[in-house]
Amino acid sequence: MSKYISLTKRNCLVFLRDRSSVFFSLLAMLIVMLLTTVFLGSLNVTSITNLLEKYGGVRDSAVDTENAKELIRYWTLAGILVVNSLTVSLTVIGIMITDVNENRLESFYTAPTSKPLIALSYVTSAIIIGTLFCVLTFILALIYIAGCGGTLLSFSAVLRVLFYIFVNVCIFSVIMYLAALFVKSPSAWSGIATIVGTLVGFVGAIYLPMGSLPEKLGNVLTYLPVLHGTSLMRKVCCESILAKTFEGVPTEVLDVYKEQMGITIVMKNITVSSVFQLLFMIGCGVAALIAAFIAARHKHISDR
Amino acid sequence: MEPIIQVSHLKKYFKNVKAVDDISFTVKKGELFGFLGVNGAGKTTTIQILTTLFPPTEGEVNICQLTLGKENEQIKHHIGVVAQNNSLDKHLTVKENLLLRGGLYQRNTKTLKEKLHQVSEILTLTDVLKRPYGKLSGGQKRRAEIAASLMHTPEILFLDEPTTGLDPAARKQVWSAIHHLQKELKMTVFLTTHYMEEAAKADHISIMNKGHLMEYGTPFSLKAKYAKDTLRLIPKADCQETLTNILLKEKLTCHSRENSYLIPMDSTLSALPVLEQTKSLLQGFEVIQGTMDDVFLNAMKGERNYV
Repeated sequence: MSKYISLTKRNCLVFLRDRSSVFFSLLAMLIVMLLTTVFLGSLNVTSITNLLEKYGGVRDSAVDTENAKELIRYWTLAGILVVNSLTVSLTVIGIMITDVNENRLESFYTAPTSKPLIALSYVTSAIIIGTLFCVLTFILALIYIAGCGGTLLSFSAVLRVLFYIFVNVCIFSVIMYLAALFVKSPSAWSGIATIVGTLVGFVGAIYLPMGSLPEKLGNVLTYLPVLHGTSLMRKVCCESILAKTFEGVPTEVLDVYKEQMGITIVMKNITVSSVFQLLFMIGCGVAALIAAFIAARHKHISDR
Repeated sequence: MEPIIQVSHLKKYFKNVKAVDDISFTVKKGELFGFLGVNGAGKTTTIQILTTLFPPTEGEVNICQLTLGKENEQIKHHIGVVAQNNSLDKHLTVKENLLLRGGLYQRNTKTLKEKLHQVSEILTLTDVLKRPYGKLSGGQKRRAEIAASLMHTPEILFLDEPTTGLDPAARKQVWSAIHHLQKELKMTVFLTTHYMEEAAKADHISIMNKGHLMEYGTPFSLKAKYAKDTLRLIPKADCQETLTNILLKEKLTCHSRENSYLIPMDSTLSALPVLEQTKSLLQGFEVIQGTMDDVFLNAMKGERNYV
């Protein structure tokens, strides 16, 4: 156990001391925030106020605008938490590739530590750092939302968000570990990080609402855990403010809006439940874990 | 001295490449063992096998009376390994690096801190313990690497080219540490190096080429076998012809170079009769000692003399 703690502590320290790694792991989040601030946020707010104006009857437009802004803040926060859980765990797992590349892994193998323990330490550190960064982001975002005069989430919603953060980070860490087993150089890994950082915004329907994506692409995305992770997070984050914003609006309109914004996911014409989404994500994580176990067994340091 | 490493008919094949091809040798407890060879000779592969990184294709290895392949986990507690490339983390301090590496062997924090104090004293790292490893000089980095491998007090220390790329002062510091470990702590040191003057400090030397062990012996015995001393005679200005005639008469093989004669000698003492005979004709002379470079180059050229 002490060896496992030692290795995990080492991986966490190596990541946290490298400021450029920390910065680049948060870059995708910063891009989402920038895009939302510059134009995506106001576009989304306008689409909500237009809907409310069209289907909501006689309303106070100033209140609607404030509610819409708060809804988009929570909607963006949910997306950011998923982006972070993916990109941070990806960067932390990258330590393993650097270790392989700089023959550091050999020095661990000559110590009385088992290979599965070393592998587990990389995944654990990705989970610890990923969760820590997401929780910090969540706290800062809540402070910002409160500062803007918004309503804070209920205690049970906060607990559910923390649970989903943990689930997302665990699953993405295992998937990233599996991917890292097939990558040989840190430069290739940083290339993957760039691609993932860019794509996650689209794959998770964070840059663009689901409704803006082509139908076929949207259907493909429903089979990826990122979209379900984002959807679960959005359901919790937006639950209260959605009800408040869409008060007096027909349920059908709200349902269509939720689907358009990726808050609910429709697979084969059925709106999937949160339990199904959670099980789907866990299933993806377990499949990645089994694949990683099989791949790691067939890999030797001579192959790297 | 009892054997601490026994290698018998060791082979390691990678598909069609015979990286190590049937080598046998013994390393005695407490000795400094030099393992020489050109790049690609199979030295690093051998070390990787002995340090449990690769399983051998064939052969038997015993380390500290433990069988490699069957008792690898126990063997790992008895060995310390310093690889060719630095492996400590550049963003962590030397102290953090050493404690984290030590933590892979034992959990007792107090023991770890005592060990940290001890190894940093031996390797003169006390002043840099709080500095990030990446900011150290080349020599300090190598000493920190050695220190990390000593955190669990191994009986055998494997050093794979520990001084490559270091300046002479840094090399001297590293060697001073190696000598301390061997002489004071009675540690067995298994070393590979490209510096032949360093190899001369070993108790025994093995020379490897193309996966085979070409030679084994003490530096003295190998020098006697492969490295000839050379007598250089510098004649007085008007005695060159007379000296040439004497050397021809004595049937001594010699080469002339820059107004001097170079005569290969079987030993330094063989120079005495020649000097006695020619001293009145000489402006000066010198005996050039055979070097480990000669041993290495000649052994590599020759046949496989050790199996």
